Amino acid sequence: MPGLRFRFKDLADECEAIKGYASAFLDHQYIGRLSEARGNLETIQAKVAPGRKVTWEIPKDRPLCTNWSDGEFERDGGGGHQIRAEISFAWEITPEAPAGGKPKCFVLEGLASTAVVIVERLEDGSERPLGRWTMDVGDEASPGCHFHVQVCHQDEPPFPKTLPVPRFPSMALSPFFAIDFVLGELFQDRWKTESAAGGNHADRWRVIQQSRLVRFLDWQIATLKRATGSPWMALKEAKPPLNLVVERAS
Amino acid sequence: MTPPERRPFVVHVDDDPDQLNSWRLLVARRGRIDLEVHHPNAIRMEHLERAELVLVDFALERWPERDRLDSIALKPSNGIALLSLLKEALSSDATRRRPAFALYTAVIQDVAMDLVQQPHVVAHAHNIEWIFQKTHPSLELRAEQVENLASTIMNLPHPWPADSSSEAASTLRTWLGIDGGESWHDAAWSSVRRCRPPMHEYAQHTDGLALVRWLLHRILPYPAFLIGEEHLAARLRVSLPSLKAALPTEAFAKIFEPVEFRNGLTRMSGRRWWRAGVEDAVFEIARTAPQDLDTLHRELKERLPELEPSPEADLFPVLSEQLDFEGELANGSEIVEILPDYWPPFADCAWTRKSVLANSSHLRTIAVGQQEGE
Repeated sequence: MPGLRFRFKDLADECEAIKGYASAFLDHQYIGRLSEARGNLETIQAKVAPGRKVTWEIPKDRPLCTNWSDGEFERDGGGGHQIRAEISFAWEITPEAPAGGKPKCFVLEGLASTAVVIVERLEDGSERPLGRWTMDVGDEASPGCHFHVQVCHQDEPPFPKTLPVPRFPSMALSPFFAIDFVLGELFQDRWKTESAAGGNHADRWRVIQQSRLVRFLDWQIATLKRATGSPWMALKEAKPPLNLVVERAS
Repeated sequence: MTPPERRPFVVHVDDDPDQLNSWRLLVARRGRIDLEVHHPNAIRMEHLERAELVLVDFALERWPERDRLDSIALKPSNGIALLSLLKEALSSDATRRRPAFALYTAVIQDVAMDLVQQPHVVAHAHNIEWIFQKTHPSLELRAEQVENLASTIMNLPHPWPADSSSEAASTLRTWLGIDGGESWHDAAWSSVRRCRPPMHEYAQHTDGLALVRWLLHRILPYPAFLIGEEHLAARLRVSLPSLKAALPTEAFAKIFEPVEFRNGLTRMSGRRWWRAGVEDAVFEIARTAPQDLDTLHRELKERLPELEPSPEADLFPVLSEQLDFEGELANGSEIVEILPDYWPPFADCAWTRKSVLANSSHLRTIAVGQQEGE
């Protein structure tokens, strides 16, 4: 069966964890969009008939926004831009038929894209986009690494939609991973310190991400060990098992 | 009228009982509780032992027997002091259900002192369940609030299940009305758990009273798993006046009555709806594209023509200096976040208008980004 299986509860917990974990770095005007995304996921679990594909999203016209980074994307705050990230995603998910009761899992198949737009604030207060990338999960037919990043990918060059390469390998297994990634990029020093601190939200985040990433890396290592030709091509062509994300880490 | 054998008993302590005759007669006419009004001198243990709710006046001035005493330890100076004394008089009897204790006063500002004059804030600060305000224009509403609090206490599960976590959870779910009959009940329960209900040893120790206080002080006043009119309008991205216009309509009831929080305590705070239930209702309304605002607004307008959709991506309920919600929502450019001392971490952020800051030193003190060093 194609696709990638996730537990509803894991994504809902992840959403709640990153909301608390990253709270000091997310613009609170928009943090309610995380709660709405969680609420929408819970409603999909409760109401959408198994087998029916729906889109679960933070829409691109109402993205989650980080706080402004005043040059903090360089160590010691030496960057020359005041920027923030606007994060949106759209995942096409299909609840699975349960043995009894409501579905516990869904399968991710089809559109699975998380977009990050870097916006700069200029001295006159106006804003302009500086860059964009997407962190995507492929499907059975997609070329390139199954988990990949595409840069720009808009109507005009550079890297227009008509040029879908390169697809850089990624380990973003959920839309919320992108938040952790982006904060590490925009707030090089402060997120490093903040993310290392303990606490309820940090612990929950670590438990979720650590087991997932261990499973991902184990799969990558196993793929490499089986490679008969180019190891890179083996990684590029590998398709994950359906239960990559839900199996317990060894 | 409630049959006498099923009526909660409320004892009301006041230094001038005769001034409360109209209050006493109104409550008697309504017939939902048994109310006795007594001077502090006349309060006996049997009053406390019978009571579901003890009301105490704050300003106890007509009490010559107290005033004649020399020892300060024998002279409760006001209703707060007397309430503590009465509470402790009962505490030695662990087998008895505890009543709720509340002030009934015309001078909340004297009780609040430097605190905002919000009953839940002041009650929490003084370790009591509530503060009823004599100055509220509607005597009928005050009566209903007292009746509902007393009934809630009387109908608390007793004893509170303490030996089993699942039984405590099940009891709380039933008490809140989310015991699994609807598709959104599980999501609602998850959101309740995130707000740390005191449903184990605290509930047992207080015979469930801790949960009443948690609801009154920490949940109903704040946008958490229950939301009021302001946050409902914000979620739907419609103007607040238009939502208020839609509230009494049958069409509104058809959509939102199934997800309204049904509990007598909402008469203290105003109507509340389950946030998980609202998400469920929104999903039903805009099924083809539940996250698309244009679809939601189109479908809402068809069902509730009174509503005025906003073009804003987000709308924000805003608070006044006394932390009341204003009658209009604000957009993102008009707001600044505030951090009131007692605002729960599990609730949505608190906002006020930037334009209000100039005239309020209190709000400037708690506004994010306004303090030195931020």
